[in-house]
Amino acid sequence: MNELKIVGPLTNDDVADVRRFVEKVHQRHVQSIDDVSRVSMTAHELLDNAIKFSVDGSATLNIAIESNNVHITTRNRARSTDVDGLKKIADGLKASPDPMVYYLELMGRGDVRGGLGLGRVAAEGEMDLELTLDGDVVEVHARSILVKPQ
Amino acid sequence: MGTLSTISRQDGDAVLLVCSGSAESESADALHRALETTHTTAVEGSARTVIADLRGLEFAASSCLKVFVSWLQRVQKLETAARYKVVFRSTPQYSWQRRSLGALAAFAGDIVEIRAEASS
Repeated sequence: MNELKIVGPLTNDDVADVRRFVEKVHQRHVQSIDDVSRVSMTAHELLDNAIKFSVDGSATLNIAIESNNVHITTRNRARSTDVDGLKKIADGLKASPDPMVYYLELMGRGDVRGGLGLGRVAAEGEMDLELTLDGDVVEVHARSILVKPQ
Repeated sequence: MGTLSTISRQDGDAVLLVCSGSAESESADALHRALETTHTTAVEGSARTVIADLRGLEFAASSCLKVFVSWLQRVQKLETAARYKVVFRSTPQYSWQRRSLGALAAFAGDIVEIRAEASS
């Protein structure tokens, strides 16, 4: 298993650097360019949200690839009101038979702080999303199958 | 690849918008201003088409995709006679473009066309 762990505090200025780093690392371990793009885009959007909603500016990012499964996880401390909004979007995506339909619906709405990123991860990144809360720590977990295994 | 850079100019009966660099979350305001200028130029010059050349755009964060969506919504709200078509020029070099521009085309298929460069 390949595992990449980036521990904060990370700020907005770090997100692009982390995305490029993730892309570079996975170009060596993942065979499909499209898979690399899905993984780096997902890392970017989840980390961007994690920092945006973090109460202390700190977030962690973990990416694990085992055989043809990729798991991307972010953790941060957040306010319950922010988590409620994100949870609603994650639940909506899970309940929707086609994430792309829900993503297009999110595009048409102007009131979805952080939601378009989650929609993008699910629809464009073809990731299954899970959002869990432990105290004030929110964990967003994205999982997908790579088109071409390692 | 640096921060977002945009150039907008009239090109015959079309308006050309060239975006390059990287459209990170913090570039959303700059992108908004560039699209505002492009929209005004297109409407005032009665352009039939705006060509948004994204071939030099390494990445666009969802905050910037949201700015593109708002622009497309504005174009859709124009009277039919004033409405222009948006042509996105893309490259397979940046994989995100196929998926993200595909989503924008699904969102506003009545006004959006994607012209992808052939793979080399």
